[in-house]
Amino acid sequence: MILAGIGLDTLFLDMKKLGLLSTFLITVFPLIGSGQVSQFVRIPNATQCAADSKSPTESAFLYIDATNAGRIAYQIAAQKKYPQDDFVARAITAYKNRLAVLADGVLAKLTSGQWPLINSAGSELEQILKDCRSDLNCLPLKQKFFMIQNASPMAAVKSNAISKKPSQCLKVEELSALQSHLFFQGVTQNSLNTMAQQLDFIKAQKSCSDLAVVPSQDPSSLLQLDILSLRDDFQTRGFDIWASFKTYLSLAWRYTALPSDDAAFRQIFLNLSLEENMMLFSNGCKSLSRPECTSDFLTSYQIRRMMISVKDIDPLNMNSDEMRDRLFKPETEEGAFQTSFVSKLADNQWVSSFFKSLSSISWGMTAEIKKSTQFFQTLLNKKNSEQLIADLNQILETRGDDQSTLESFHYLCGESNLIGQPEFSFYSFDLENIEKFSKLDSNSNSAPAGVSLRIGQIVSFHKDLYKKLGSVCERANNLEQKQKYNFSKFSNYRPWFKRYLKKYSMFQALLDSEGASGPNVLAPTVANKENYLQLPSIMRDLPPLVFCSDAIDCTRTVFESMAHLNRIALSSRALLQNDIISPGLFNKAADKVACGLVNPWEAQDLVKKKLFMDMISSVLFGATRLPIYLDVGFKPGEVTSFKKLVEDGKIKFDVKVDKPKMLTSLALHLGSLIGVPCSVQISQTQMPAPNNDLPNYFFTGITGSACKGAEKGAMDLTGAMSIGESYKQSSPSGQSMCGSCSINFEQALETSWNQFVPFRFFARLLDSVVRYNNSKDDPSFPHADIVNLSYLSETFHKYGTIPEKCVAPLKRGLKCLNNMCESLITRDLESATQRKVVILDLEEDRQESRQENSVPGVSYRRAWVQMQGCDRKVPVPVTCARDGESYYLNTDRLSKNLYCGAASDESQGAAK
Amino acid sequence: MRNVILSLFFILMAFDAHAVSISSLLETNSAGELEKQTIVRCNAADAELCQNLCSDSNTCIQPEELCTDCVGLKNQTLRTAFTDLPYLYRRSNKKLSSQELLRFLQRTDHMLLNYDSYLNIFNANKKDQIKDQFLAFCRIQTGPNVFDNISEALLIVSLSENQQPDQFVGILCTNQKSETSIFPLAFNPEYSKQPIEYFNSIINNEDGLKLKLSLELSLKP
Repeated sequence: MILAGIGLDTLFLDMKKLGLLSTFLITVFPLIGSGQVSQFVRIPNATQCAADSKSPTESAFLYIDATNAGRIAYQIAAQKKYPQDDFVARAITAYKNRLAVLADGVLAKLTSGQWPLINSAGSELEQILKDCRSDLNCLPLKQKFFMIQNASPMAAVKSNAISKKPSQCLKVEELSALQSHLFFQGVTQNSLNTMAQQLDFIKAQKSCSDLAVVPSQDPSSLLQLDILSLRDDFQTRGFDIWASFKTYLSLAWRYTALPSDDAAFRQIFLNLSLEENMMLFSNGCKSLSRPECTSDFLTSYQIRRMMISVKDIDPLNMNSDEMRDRLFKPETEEGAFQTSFVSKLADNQWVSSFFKSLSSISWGMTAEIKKSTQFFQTLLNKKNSEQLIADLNQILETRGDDQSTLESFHYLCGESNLIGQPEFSFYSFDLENIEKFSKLDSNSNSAPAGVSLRIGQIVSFHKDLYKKLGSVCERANNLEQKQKYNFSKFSNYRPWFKRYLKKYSMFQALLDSEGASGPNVLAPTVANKENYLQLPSIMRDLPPLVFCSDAIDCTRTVFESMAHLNRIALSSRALLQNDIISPGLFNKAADKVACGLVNPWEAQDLVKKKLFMDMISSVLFGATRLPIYLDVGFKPGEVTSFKKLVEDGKIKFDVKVDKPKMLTSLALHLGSLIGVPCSVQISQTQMPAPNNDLPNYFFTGITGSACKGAEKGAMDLTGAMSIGESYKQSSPSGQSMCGSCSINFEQALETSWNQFVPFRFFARLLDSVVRYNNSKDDPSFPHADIVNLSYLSETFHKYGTIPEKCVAPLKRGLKCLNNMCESLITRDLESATQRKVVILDLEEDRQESRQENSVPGVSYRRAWVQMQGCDRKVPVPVTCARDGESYYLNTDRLSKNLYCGAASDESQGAAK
Repeated sequence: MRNVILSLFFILMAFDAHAVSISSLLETNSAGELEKQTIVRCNAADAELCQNLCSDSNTCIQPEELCTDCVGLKNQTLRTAFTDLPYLYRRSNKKLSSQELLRFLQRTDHMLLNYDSYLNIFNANKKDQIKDQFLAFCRIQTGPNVFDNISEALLIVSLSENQQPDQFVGILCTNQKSETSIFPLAFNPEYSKQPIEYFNSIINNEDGLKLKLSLELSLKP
């Protein structure tokens, strides 16, 4: 999350609005003015983190795993008698270098606008991708990519990059204080101390294009990709940039030759399944793709779980019910999860060990697909449901009085009833997902060799079998009753069945008691092993591949395989598609937010309402009517700032009001709120007055809200639970506007400004705004802190620790000086003049301090400042109380003396 | 009776190996790239084949097609090649003629897999076992093991338009005299009844009908 393209002055001015404008912010960016590169880290609190999930990230990590490149090289070295270690290291290094250079180049091409976004208006690429069914090896796609690349070749990236970098790519050796936002939620004195202690360990980060590396056999590499210059439409297009990045990177890997490539591997590397060997994930709470309440997105929780426990190797055993249950789990459990998550992060091996478990899960899933589909392929090649039922009846005929046979039937019928009719089952088969999955298996890569079945055929076979099984189970049950058998060994059910029932405490207790009673568990054995379904080998000394021993075993395997295919289908898109995996690792609440279960803005909404009420009351008490109203031609819902409304002439003032005076008062009292991008809200509680020509929309204040809209969706818990249907929330119309606020207007019937008393109105309004700002410390309120790492380091080295008095300024990205006023003034003057403040003396406002009702503490009205390169102090008018309240400094009208006369016009111009 | 007929057929066929030797190696080409190459060597009797293939009557070296995007844990086709091939496939008993071999070599919609292929990231430590499995397809299934002197087996994998491994379509068997024979593969009928059609177009090209008839004859009990 890095910004550099925007002017520093703008950035600093915006720093005041951090609490409100969190989503437009940055995590880390270079500070030019200080003469050395220093960095800001943005640390959102838990609620802000949840809210951030709806915004596109400006920074992402790309994890590269070159293990397969190494494996291939190892075997080639063996065949060609090359020195193995050297050759493997050479291959791994060549692989990592090529990807790093490509990633750097592709992102630069995209962010500089030289390559079109895949789904930009009129993009042919999107249509070609559709026609190619997202197969990146498809010829038309290759041709199109060549055209795009020829128009703006990759080699031109570097030369462009020098003047104004739109993005940067860094090699991350290990996580450090620069990534503090991954470790902390919100800033405290403790966390600042921890961060400060880590500062000296930050290693210089190399650019991705820096190829001077010693070849090594370490297969993993972590790159940090930052978009530096955010376009105005980043909120809406950010997700498209990352989606396009993934596709272009895949295409470039296949079709772009780089001068730096190691020629030996040019052909060999094309064998490798690139997408499988890398992972792109957001560097923080924001998202890479638009969060939607779908099974794919819910899988991210399961993927996150892999980070804390490699042993928890089967986290993908959830069905849709379980996914839903998980969503409702209380936060306390999540809290413990977060703790272990962070401790795992601190381990620098986390990403590679995480990726290994992820790969082993995918590997396990493909093995499962192979096993299940080969089973169905062989079964359906030989039998239809009638034959299988006939064979079951045959067993009942011949061995109907045999205890072990009836016991096997008992478990078979229990399992089949759990799945039951796919449409009504409480195990919830997600037919839609299975259908999606069947499209996936038409891709030759994921369909096991020789499996000609479509999933649809398997599903209808299963349904058919279940229907016919009813009479068989009834018959077996009657025999069981007759013999007075009592089979209740829970442990004899198949693992998928037990795993599902275990979530009910009753069954868990049952299983535990059986476990305690010892291993004397009767396995459902069949007297005569028939090898009912098997495939003989072509080799005489290789035993046949046995799928199931008899008709009972086979029928149970049908249900078991269905359960396995179902859960694979649920997470197939996240894990099996030929796409670069991109889980949201650092946002524990993202899925809940996407599904409408958590509203991160809830607490804020309450405060917001309060502010709104205050503002209304200020209107009521301070003035009967406000002398500000909205132009008739204005469309509500548009995003703008109050300042811009005024500039554009959309805001009209009553003729009786002195406009400049009014504006100055507004600027003073609305403070930072005045420039914040806001949506314009008009409450139309009353009917328009008949025969009234005036647009009676009165300004009722500005309300801050971190995000608006898009929170309508809620999960329907009443209907049949099926992901993709009832999880689907009502799609929000348009993009939610995170980090914005609203400028409120209210329609009124009459116009009468006569009783307006500005003073009382603003006194009241100021109070509301102050209260609003204070409420930002509430942990349930979305809020992000900004820490300037060089200031943090400076403070730490000065005091040996972070003193309590420095927490407040450091949290706001300020220098820790004698008081908050000094910090704020220094920041604004340095950013406006691009020079350092050498001396700063504050002059007390004696008049204000003597007043009994004034803000406690000292107030200042003037600062005496000496800037670097000047030989004397100059006065700067300022308004500030000791803790930084009611701070106001007009940087637009700074004395020329601050620039010591020299180059003042130029600097001033630049500052603006 | 069936076994006797089949055995006789294979014994006859054993003498009918082409005097062409085909191997597949990883070499460094002139651009310094590691490249898979098919090397075809013809003796005097089959010189015409090499002549037609590359205008050289002795040796043809052709760059081989490679599957792209295929080496990954999720790739089911390659996984099958090195794991359960002996269960899922059977070898057709029809050996292709020189003409058919030529037509096959002229096509670019396939790749060749050695038992020790570097593409095997699945179970590379089981090379001996995989070698036995590949060779088993060259040996006859019943009767005397006249093909025991087979020294090398190459699996033929058809490639889709997008260079993806599609099916296992045939096997190239080379005996110790460096004579290579080529056989189509079929599914184990207990696994799938779907025909593998890759070689149909090669067989049907000219004398397809004749060969098809003889294939049917040979399979009759």
